[in-house]
Amino acid sequence: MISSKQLGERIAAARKRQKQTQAELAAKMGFARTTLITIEKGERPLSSVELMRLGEILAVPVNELLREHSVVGEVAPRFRMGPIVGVEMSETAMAVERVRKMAVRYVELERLHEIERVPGRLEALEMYRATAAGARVDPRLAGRDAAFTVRNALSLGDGPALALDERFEVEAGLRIFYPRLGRSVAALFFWSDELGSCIAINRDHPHERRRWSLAHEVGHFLRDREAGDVFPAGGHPRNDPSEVFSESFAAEFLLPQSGLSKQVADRLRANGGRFTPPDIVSLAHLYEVSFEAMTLRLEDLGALHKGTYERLKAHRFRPQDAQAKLGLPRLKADTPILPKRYVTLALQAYADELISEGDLAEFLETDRVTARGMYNAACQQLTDDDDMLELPLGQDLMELGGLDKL
Amino acid sequence: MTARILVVDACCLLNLLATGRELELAVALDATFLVTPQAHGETRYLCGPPDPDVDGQPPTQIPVELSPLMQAQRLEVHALSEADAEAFIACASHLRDADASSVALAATRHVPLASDDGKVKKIARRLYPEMEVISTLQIIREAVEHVGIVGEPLKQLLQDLCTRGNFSPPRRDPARAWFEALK
Repeated sequence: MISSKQLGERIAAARKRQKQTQAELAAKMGFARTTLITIEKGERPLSSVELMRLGEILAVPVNELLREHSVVGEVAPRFRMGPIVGVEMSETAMAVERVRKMAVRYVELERLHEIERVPGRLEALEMYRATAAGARVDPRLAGRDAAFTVRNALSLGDGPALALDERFEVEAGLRIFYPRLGRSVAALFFWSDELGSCIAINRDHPHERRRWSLAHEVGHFLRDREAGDVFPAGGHPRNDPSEVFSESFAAEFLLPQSGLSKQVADRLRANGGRFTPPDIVSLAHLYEVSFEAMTLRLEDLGALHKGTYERLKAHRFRPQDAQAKLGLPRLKADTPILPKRYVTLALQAYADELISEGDLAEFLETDRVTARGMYNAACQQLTDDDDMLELPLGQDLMELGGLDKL
Repeated sequence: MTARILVVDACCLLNLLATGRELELAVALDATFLVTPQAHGETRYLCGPPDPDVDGQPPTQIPVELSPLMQAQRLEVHALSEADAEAFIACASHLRDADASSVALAATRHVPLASDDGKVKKIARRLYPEMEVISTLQIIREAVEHVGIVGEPLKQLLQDLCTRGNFSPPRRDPARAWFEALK
C-alpha cells in the first residue's frame, strides 16, 4: 500500500506530464487550488470517487497512481529539447516520451522481481566525464582512449565488436531499445536517477548504422550522462566537444586502429600489395559497419588516401552490389524493439502471477493474444527428439542447487 | 431476462470469442455476459492465419467481432458508477484498471467473475473470498454438456480456442483434465 505522500507525488507528476497547472486541475476537479496543493503534498486523502475522477481527467490509469511498484521516472531536467538543426522536435519529444515509458516499465519489472541492479563495470568509469579533470584532454584523443579502455574492460581485443547490446546492458547497465524514432533522429540517450541510462536507436536504420549510433551514444554515456543526447539523422555539428568525443569513441571502438591495420596488412600481403574496393566491402562486413564508415576510417588512419570515399562515390561504386558478388549476406535488420532481458523479466513475472495478461501485453507492447503466443513459445522448447518440452519459466534453478558443485 | 449474469474479464471474453461459438455457449447457459468498458477496450484481436508476405510468416491479427453477442443481448458493456468506486479503488491498488473494473463489477453486483488470469483470480479471491470465480473451460464444459456438443465438433471448438486465442489451460484450472482428455 503506498503512502499519501507517494500518491501525491504521482498525481503531481502526472499533472505536469499533461502540462496542467495546479489551478487548472483543481478547477476540473471542483477543488480550490489550495486543496490540490495539500493533496499533492499527501496531507489530504482522496475519496475513491475523487481518485476515479482524477484518473479520467489526467488520462492516467488509476492503477498507475496506486500500485506499489509504479515508477515516476521523470527524465533528468538537463535533457533539454532546445532546437537542434535538422531535427523535428515534436516528433522527437514523442519518441522521448515513448522511450521513457519503456524505461519506466523496465524498472518496474526489476522492482517486481525485487532486483536491485548492481552497477556494471563501465558505470563506474569516471575519468572521461566532462566534469572530470580529464575533460581538458583533447576530446578526439579522449574518445580514442575511452574506446581502448572499454574494449579492454569487455575483453574484446582488437577484433570486431559483436553482440554489443547484451554486453553494454550487463557491463554498463544500459537500457537499449529499438523503437521507430522518425526520420530526423538516429538515436537518443538520456539518464535519470530512477531510470538509469537509456538509449534508443532508430529501428528503421540499417544494421550497420544502428551499431554506429549505439557506440556514439555510449560515448555520451561515458562523458556527460546527465546531459543526454539527440543524435540527428544528418549528424551533429563537429565542433561540439561531446560530439567529437563520442564520434571518436565510436570510430575507435568499432574500428580499432590496431586491428584494422593488421587486417589491411594481411590483405596487402595476400593480394600482392593491392587493396581494392571489394576489400573495403569485405572489411566493412566483417566489422559490421557501413562501407562509408570503413572507407573514411581507413582514410583517417592513413591506410587510404584522403578523398578515396568521395572518388569512389563519384565513380558510382555500389558497395551493395559488390557485397552480393562477394557472396556476403546482408546483415539482418530485424532487431526486436525491447531488450531480451526485459522480455524475459516480463514473461517470468507473468509465470509467477506478479502481473496479469493485460500487464504482459502492455509490457510487450502488443495485444493480449499475441502476448499469450509469446509466452507459450517461451514456455515450450522442442527437444532433440522433436517432443515438446514445457519449461517452468519462473523456476529459480539456483534453488535446485548445483552451483557449489561447479 | 436471462437466468444467469456473469462478469467476463478481457481474458475470458477473448477465449469465448476464439471458440467462434460464443453466442451458442451463452444461449446454452442462458447467460448474459457483462464486460466493463476498460475490459472491452482490451478485447481487440484474435490470432489469424500466418502472413505470407512478411519474413517469418507471423500470425495475422483478426479484430474481434462483438456485435453478434451484443445484438442478441448476451453481452452488455457495463460502466462502473460512483457506487462502485470503493470496490474499484480497492482492486486498482493491485490490478490494472481493466481487470480491477471487472472484479469490482462482479463484487458489487454479487455475480460470478469469469477469468483465466492467474493474478486476477488471486486478487479477486483475496479481496472477495465469497466471490465465485469460474474459468473459460468450466463455462465451455457446462455449455457443451448442456446442449450435447461432443466428438469432432467439440474437438474443433477447443482447437479453435487454442489456435485463435493462443489459449493454454491454466495449471490449476478445475477443467484442465477434461480439456487434456479431449485434445
